[in-house]
Amino acid sequence: MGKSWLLFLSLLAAPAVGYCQLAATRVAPAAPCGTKQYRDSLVAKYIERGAQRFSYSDPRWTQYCDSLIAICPTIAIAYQQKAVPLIKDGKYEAAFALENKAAQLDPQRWLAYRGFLKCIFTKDYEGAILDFQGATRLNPAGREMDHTYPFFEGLSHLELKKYALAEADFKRDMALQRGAAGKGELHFNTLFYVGVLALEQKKYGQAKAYLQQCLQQYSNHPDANYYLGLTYRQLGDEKLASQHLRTAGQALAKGYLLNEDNLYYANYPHQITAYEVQQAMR
Amino acid sequence: MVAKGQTIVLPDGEYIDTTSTRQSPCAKAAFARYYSVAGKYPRSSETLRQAAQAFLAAQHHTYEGSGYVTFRFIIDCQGQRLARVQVLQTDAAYQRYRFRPELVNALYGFLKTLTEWPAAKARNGQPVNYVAYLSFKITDGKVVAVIP
Repeated sequence: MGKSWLLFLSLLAAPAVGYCQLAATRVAPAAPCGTKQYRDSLVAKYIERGAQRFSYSDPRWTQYCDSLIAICPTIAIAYQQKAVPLIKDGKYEAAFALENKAAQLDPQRWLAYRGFLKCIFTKDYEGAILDFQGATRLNPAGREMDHTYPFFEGLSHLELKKYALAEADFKRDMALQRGAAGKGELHFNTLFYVGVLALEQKKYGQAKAYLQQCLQQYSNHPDANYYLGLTYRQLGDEKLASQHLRTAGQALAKGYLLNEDNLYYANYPHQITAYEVQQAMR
Repeated sequence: MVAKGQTIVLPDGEYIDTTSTRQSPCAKAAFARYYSVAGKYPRSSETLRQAAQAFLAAQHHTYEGSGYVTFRFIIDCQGQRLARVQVLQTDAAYQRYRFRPELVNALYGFLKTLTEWPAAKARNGQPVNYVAYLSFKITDGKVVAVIP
């Protein structure tokens, strides 16, 4: 019986995905989806070779996710993937209902991701901190979008102007990146944000040192050049301030960015545009 | 003084202002999303937050409530925002919520001051219209963040 249901659903899903919404409403969530191997095969079929063949805005993206949810309502990634176009469209109510479901079904994988969305997409810094604290309990050395969990806690505390907490977070972030041997290289955006934190705290010497380290790795980092320019201005060196502000403007004009995966969708904390550079140069 | 928006409820959501479209040379242009054509507004989130909060303060009205007010709209291929604007509102926990109309109208009034949306082109060089949005994170009636 179970196999015939699946065959029926597969026939619906492959050639006529437009009917998957209908299937989603009629199928009782009793189809077997227990073994990891079987669940992985469903993800491969409906997500990797299904939804992900289309753009986020294509209705078939959602229909493949709905089909997977109809077949097996306990596969977390189906909810997370269904939420992707929604969060990028500012549809938070619908998106977070799905993200909550994904995080509930598989917190090990999706709790930190939800924290990332709150930190970068919805600027819900208190919520992001709670999610990353929960994720750290599950996976103390976890990573999300190329960064440690304390990195995002540090960003959140920085934006909430809780500077002492941000400092402690970034220290943990740097310790994790350096590793047990203490030799790991720090991500240039860790150095950037630690520099920004120091600038906000009016620790101009520290700000200069961290932002310069960031620029040693990525000399065209527009935001690091901008904030280093502001730092030099505070230190009374208008010549170097102008030089770095000019470099920031030139880097932006050439298309250089802060270099994070989701920049096209959402601005990162303290990210600037050409407008802010022009204002600073006036 | 902010002009009162005209709220229109359609089966797919709530809209503010007129739903009519004018004759436009962009009528036949393809549609994209803001993120595929670098269509974010050319100001930092913090610059927009400060401007939005200053705009609210200039209305001399006390606003209340916490959560998100989001406007979704179309920027045509010439960089003009079309009048059909969807309004989405949630509380701070992303649950459906309605702020008082004075706040929504004031934020919409601020949106109307943003006139530097980039005109976008597809990879083949053809001008495109794109769907964009602007969200205001509100805490106790104040704008604490602007997204994206």
